Amino acid sequence: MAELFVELGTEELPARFVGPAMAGLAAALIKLLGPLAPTPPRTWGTPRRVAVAFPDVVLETAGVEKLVTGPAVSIAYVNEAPGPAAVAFANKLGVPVDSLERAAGPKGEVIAARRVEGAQRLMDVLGAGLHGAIFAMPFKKTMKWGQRKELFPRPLRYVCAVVDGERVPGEVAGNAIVDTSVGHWLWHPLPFRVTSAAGWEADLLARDVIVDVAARRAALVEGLAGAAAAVGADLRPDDTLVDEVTNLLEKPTVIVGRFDAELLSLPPRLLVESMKVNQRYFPLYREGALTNEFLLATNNPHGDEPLIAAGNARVLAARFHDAKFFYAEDRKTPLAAHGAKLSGMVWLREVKGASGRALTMAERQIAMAAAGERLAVACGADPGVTLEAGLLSKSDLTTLMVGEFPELQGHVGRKLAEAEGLPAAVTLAIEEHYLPRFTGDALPSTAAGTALALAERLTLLDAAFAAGLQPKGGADHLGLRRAAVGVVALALGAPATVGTMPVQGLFSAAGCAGGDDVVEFVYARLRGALADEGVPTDVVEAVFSAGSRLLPDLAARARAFGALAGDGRMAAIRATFRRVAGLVKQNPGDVLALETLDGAALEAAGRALRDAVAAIPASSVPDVQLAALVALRPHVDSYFDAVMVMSDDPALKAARLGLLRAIVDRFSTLADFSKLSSS
Amino acid sequence: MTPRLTFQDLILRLQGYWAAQGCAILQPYDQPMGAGTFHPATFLRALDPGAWRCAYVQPSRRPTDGRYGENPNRLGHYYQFQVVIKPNPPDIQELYRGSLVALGLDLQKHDLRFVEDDWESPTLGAWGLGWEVWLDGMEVTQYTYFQQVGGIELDETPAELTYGLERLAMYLQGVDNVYDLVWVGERGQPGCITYGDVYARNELEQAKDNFECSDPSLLAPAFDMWEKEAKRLVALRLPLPAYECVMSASHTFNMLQARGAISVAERAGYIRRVRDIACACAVLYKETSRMTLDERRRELGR
Repeated sequence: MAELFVELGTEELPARFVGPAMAGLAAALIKLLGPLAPTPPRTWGTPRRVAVAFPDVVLETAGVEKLVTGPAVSIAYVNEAPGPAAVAFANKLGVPVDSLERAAGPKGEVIAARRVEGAQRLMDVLGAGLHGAIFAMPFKKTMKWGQRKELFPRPLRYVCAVVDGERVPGEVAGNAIVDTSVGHWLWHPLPFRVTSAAGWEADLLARDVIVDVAARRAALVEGLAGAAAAVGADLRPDDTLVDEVTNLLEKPTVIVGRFDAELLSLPPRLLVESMKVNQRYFPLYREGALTNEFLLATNNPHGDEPLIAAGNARVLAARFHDAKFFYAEDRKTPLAAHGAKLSGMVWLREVKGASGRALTMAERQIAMAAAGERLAVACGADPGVTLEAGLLSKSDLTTLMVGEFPELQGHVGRKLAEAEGLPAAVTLAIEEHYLPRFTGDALPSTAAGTALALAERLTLLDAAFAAGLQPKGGADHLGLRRAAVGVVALALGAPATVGTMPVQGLFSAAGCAGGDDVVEFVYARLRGALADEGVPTDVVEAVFSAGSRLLPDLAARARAFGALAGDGRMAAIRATFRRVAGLVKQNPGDVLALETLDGAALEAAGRALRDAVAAIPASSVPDVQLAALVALRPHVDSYFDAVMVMSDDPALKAARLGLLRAIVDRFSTLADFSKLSSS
Repeated sequence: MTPRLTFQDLILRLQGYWAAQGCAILQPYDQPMGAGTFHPATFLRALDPGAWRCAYVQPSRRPTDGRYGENPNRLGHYYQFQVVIKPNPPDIQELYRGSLVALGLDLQKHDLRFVEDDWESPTLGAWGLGWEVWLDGMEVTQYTYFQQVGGIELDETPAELTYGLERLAMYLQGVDNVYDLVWVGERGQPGCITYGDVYARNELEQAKDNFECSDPSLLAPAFDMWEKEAKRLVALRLPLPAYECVMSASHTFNMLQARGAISVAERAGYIRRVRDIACACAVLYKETSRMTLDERRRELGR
C-alpha cells in the first residue's frame, strides 16, 4: 500500500476557514479517488497551509473486461471484409479492427469488441482531477487573484502532491504540482522535499511550524498557563479565543504585555472586549479583578519579546486614549441629562408618535419603562425600581462612549448610574435589559432586569407589527426575530414568574395590544427552537395543539416527547395513540367519567383497559404523563387486538368509543395525538 | 532602527522602493477625499484592461475623526500611501514585506501578522478580501485583493496596499503623539519641523468648522448639486469629470455627517446616492476604456 500526501500552500487564511478547509480538502479527495482511497485520511492545517494524507491508497485498479456490441455483421462486413461501419466501431473503442469478434444479438449476429472498463491509475486520476477537486471545496467567501479565474478564500501559492514521495504530474491553477513544502515564512523560506507525511510533519516542526492543530492548540494553552503563572495572575477560560488564536499562527509563542494602570478606570467590559475582540489578547485577573497585564501570542518564535510586547501595549494605549477622553466627558453629565437628548434620536422612522413625527428614542424609553413597571410584579420585581431603571435604560445611547463603542450600550449607562450612587438594583437593570443579546446568552440576574428586558422586546414587537413592519423573507432589519427569541428565552428562564403567562398575557400585562400575528410570531420562535433541538415537527404540532399556551410548559412537553424519539418508543406512541385519537375525532361525543362506563358492555378486555386508565396517577408533569402514556400503550394495543371498536351493536360501540374518549381526555393537556404523523 | 526615519524620509523610501518595482509614482489628487481608494488612479484604473502599477501619497479627510488637535492618535486629515498593482504579481506578499525591510525594520525582531479583513466600501460599490497587516499588534497597512469596483466585477485582480503613514512613522520614531513626529531635521535641533508644526493648527480649525461651524443649509443643497452634475456629465459621456463630482458629493456627505446633520435613518440613503453615481461613472469609464484617444476625440467632437 502507498501513501498519498497533498498540501495546499496558501496566503494567510482566515482562522475560521482553517478547519473547514481541512475537512473540505479531505472530502474533495475522497470524492475524487473513490475506491482508490479506501481508508480515512489524516488532516493538518495552519493559516498558511492545509494538508491531507491517505495512508493506504490503491495505485491501480484492474477493472473488468466487458464485451461491447456494435452493428449487425451484415452491415459491418462487406464481402467478408470489415467495412466502414466496422472500422468506425473499432476506432471508437480504440481497438484494432482485426480484434473484432462476433456475438449474438437480439436480431441476429453483431460485431463486438472486448474492452477493460473501470481500470484506474491513481496518478492519472490525481493529475487530471486535483485542480477540479480543490476548487470544488466549499467556502463561505472566496476571491480571485492575479489573472486567474479560480475562487479560493485567499491566493493559493503551491500544491504539493506526492505518492510515496513521487510527484503527482499535472497543474493546479496554472502552476505545476510540486513535491516540496516550505516552513515558517520568516525563518525558513527555502523549500524542502516531501517524501512522506510523517517526514513532512517532522520537517515542519524543525522549521517553526506546528502543523497539527491539536498539538498547536496544546502548545498555546501550555504557553498561556505558564506565562500567567509566571506573573502570578489568573486566566479565565475562553475556548473560542483559544481556538481562534490557534488558527491565526503557525507556531504560538506567548508574551506578557502591560498597559498603563491608569486606564483600569475605564469600564472593564470595554478593556476586556477591546483586548479579546480587536487584538485577540488574553486578559489577566488577580483576585477576580482585571489587571493591566495581558497575554498575547506572537507568530514569531524567535522575535525580540520586549519590543513586541511594547508595540502591542502601545496599540491598547492608543485605542483606550480616545475612550478615556470620551468617558471623562460623559461623566461630567448625569445619565438623565444624557437621556434628555434622546428626543433628537429617531427610533422607528416608519412609526409616528403622538406629535405626528417619527417615534423618538425618548418616547421609546418612556413607553418601555411604563411597560416594565406594569410587568414588574408578575416578574417578582419592585415596580418603582423597574420604572426608575426603565427611564434611564436607553439614556447612554447619546453618550460619546456608546457612539464610539456601540457594543457597550447598557454597560456605560450602568457605570454612569453607579458613579451617581444609584442603587445596585437600578444600575444592574439598566445594563441587563439588553439580555439575552443572542441565542444562548446570559439572562438578566435581577427581576427588574427581567421585567425591562421583556418590556423592551414586547413593546418593539407590538409597535413593529402594528405598523406592518413584520419581517419579510430573510430581511429583519429591526431584529424582530431576535426580540421574539429573547421573549421565549426570558419565559423559559423564569418559569415561576414570566412563564406563568401565555404570550398574549405577556403582551397584555405590558399594556400592549398583542395581535394574533405577533403572538403567533413569538410562538413560532419556540417551535423553531424545538425543531432545531431535534424534536420532530409533528410532535411539536401535537404539543402546540393541546394543553396550555405557556411557553415553559410547551417546551417541557415537546422536549419530553423528543427524548423518546431516539429509541423507538415514539414510533410506538405514534402508532397506537394516533389511532385512538383518530377514532375519537371521527366519532365525536361526550366524555363520560370512567366509573360510569358500563362494565358489562365493555367485556373483559375493556374492563382491563379501563382499570389501567383509572390507575394513571394524576399529574401535570409532562415526564410523568408521558411515562404513564408509555405504560398504557400495551394495554391499548391488547384492547385493539381483542375488540373491534366500531361494532354494529350501538351499545357496544358507544361503550368502546367512550373508553377511548376517556383516554384522549386523560392526556388532553399533553398533546393532540391526531396531529402525529404515522412515521 | 538608527538613524530614525523622518516623516518625509518614510514617504521617500516607500516611493523609492515601489518605483524600483516599476510603479508610476503619482502625486495626490487635488480634491478632498476620504481615502486613497477614491483616487481615480485606483478606483477607475482598476477597471482598465491590462496591467497597471502606481504608487502615491493621498491626503485623506475624515471630518468625523477630527479631535481639535487634542488626541495624540486621531486626525481629521491624515496621509495614506497607496500602491496599486494589477494584476497582482504572485509574490506581492513578499514585495510588501520587502517594503517594510526597506524602511529599516528587522522583521526577525518583530511580529508581522496578516489578519483577516473583508474590505467593503458601500459608497464606491467596491469590495475585496485581504488583511489588516499588524506590526507588533498595530495595524499599519490595509492589504486588499479587489474583486469588485463600482459594482463591476474585475477581470484581473489588483492588489491594493494602503499604508497608514502617521501610525507607521510613530512606530518607527517611537513617539506616542502624532504631533511629535519629526517631519524633517533632528528632534530638538534648530531647523527641526514636526508634524505638529505643519498640521496642529489645521486640525484645530478644521475640527471647529466640521463639528460646529459648517452650514448644513449650504452643504445639503451642495450635495444635491454634485449628484445632479455627476448625472448630467455621465449623460454627456464624460466619466472623468463626472467622477470628480462623485468625490465632491462624497466629501460633502462626510461634512454633513460630522456636523450631525444626517440622522441614522437618512445615512443609508445618502450612501446609496453616492454609490449610484459612482457606479454610473464606473460603468461609463469601463465602456470607454477600450477606445483609443483618437476614438474618444471623435466621439467628443474634437
